[in-house]
Amino acid sequence: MDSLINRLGSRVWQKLPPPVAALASHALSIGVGLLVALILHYLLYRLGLPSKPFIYVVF
Amino acid sequence: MLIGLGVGLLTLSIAGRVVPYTDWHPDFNRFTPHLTPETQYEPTIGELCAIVRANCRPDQILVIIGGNSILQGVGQPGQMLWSRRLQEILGDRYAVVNLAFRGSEASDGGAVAAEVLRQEFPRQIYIANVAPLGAASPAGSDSYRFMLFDAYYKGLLLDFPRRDESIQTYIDNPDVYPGTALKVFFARIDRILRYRDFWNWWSSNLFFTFPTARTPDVRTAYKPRGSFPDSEPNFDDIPFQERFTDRIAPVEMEITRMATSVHYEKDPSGNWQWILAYKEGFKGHVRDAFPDELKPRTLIVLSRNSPYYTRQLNADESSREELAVRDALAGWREAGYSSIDYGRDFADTDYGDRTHLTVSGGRKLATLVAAEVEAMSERLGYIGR
Repeated sequence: MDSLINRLGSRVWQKLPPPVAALASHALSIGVGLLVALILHYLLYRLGLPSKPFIYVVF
Repeated sequence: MLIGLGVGLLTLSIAGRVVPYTDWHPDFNRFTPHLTPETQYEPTIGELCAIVRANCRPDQILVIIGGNSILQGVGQPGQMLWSRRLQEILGDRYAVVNLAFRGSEASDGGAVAAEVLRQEFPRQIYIANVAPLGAASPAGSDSYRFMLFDAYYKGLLLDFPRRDESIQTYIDNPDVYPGTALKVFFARIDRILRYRDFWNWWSSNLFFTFPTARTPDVRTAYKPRGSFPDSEPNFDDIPFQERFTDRIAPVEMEITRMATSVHYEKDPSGNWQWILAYKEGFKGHVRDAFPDELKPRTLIVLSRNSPYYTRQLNADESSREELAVRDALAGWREAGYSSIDYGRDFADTDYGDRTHLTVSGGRKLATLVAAEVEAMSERLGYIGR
């Protein structure tokens, strides 16, 4: 997460009061976790579907 | 991040459990191709049950229609669908819900939903169709088995050892049934995370998430699946001569003959007799298609081919066809089901092609089925004599 914060702008981060920075860091971390959960949940759905549609044929 | 991941998955799995409490298919009439595997949309068992709950009051007798495209109503516009006529004939005492799918078996989706709802709607009748000597697998068909797995791995079904054995056979033979183990894997995960219900709800109400072969362009690919109208064409808008052409007649006649020819042989006195191996096979399939306790409330409808073709059979072939229908009816009834056939007295114009019914054929089918549903309701004690 530190590297992510660094990339986002460590200078801005360092200017924040320590309690706020810690809180923001946790919030960002949780936000990323939520996003990963959403992607993972969707990928399970998407990978569980057949790669090709069922082709209906009359017999 | 792990906290966020955990909270996110927990929230989504709760959402997946909550969404099927409400039916997201208002004014449901039947499953159209945009809500089926034909467009890579796989309805969940929770979705099917929500449709039933939204359309059947507790004081009504539930009539679930399963089976294939014939009962789904191919060639019949939504407003003239045969199951709507069935509802009209049966009246408010009954609630008819058409859960048939194109190309599905008698034991697929509708049957699974009926079984899941067996205690919630104890006064229920399940209707499905088969070809005269056709049966059904206890584990359904490959294309629609996802609904069975959905209910099976959520523990919603009856104990049915024959079905367990059948599913195990599919899992144990990946060369013959590729992908089954993967489907089981996803069904087991979905039991916990409920991603299918959640993303189906999303796809129906907000937007679909990827293009499919049937919806390749941007204008239709991402449209909510629930926004597609039922655009089933009407057989009656196509001239009869274009539906029953000389070009396809030889193939259709061959299919009509083959339906019974391989199952019967002549005995020494020249009479048709059911070949023992086929007879035993049929009886075994019928016995194993549904759990015993569900058989009495199951109506199996035998779908005959169009008289346009059966009329062209010679006398010998016709007698074989009649015998096959009688044998099949007896086979289903002896195993504990109710069973009727239709089509023998239908007109050429009651069929849109060799198997599917026009609106007029659908109305005749509805009349026959309604009479049997009422008789079954009396036999099962759903209504007073």
